[in-house]
Amino acid sequence: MLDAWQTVWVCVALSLCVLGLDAWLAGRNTGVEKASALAEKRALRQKQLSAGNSDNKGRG
Amino acid sequence: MLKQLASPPRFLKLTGLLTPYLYVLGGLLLGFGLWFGLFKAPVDYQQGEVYRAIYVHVPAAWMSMFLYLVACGYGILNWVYRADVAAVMMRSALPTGAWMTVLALVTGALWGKPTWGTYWVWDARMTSELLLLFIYLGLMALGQLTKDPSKADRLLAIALLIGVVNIPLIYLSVVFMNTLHQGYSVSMQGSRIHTDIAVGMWLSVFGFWLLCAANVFRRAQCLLIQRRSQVV
Repeated sequence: MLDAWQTVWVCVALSLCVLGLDAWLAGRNTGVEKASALAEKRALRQKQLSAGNSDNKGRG
Repeated sequence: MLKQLASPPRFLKLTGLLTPYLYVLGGLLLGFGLWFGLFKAPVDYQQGEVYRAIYVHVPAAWMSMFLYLVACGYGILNWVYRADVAAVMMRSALPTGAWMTVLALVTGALWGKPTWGTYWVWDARMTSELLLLFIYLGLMALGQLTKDPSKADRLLAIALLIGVVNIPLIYLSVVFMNTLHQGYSVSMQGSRIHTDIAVGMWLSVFGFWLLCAANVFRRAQCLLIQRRSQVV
């Protein structure tokens, strides 16, 4: 069995590990930010392309 | 004001700005609280040194209940306003709340062994806290059940509101039921603990509070970006 101070230190170490692990897990998907920027760019390009197409159709 | 905060770009900007400061301030408060509690606060005349687990056990237990109420609050806001920001905040509070519940249970068990002679008893406080962990896990699973996020958000909000019954049960269990767990040391009427012990504990509580808020904001940012990228 752990003595008093060992118990306290284990509790403190566990707490810091849990807070750190939660922070790491929370920020794990930060790559999504890049993906979303790319997706927005792609959507904008598609919009411009489709606008261009409809212009051509109008002329034709 | 509420409408302005519900705007995703504004939310992302605000939380992006706030989160690093929350981590730094939370880390400093927790560090100072632990230093004060472990090395400066007097020893307890009944329990000896082992009572110092209070500096992490109590903040974790309070956060486990508080984060559930936060998720519930955002669940109601999402139900009323159908705002993406409220939905992601509701979802983001759940994993952090579950971690805090695990921490409260484990540190409580470790503290229980030298104090009560056992790691676990099926008394009202501990059993209701364990039930809270199962509720958190169930809710997180429920959030993944359907592909339609808005439907899942509404389901989650209803389940959260049903599960909230457990929070007063945890809080009041030491008053209305015969339990091994000690009663209130801090209540609305004041504190019954030594000032030096209270100072360390409150610093740790605020440290935990800010660090949990930072983790919730960080997760909410990621979820919100994910949702917006799916929409685009």
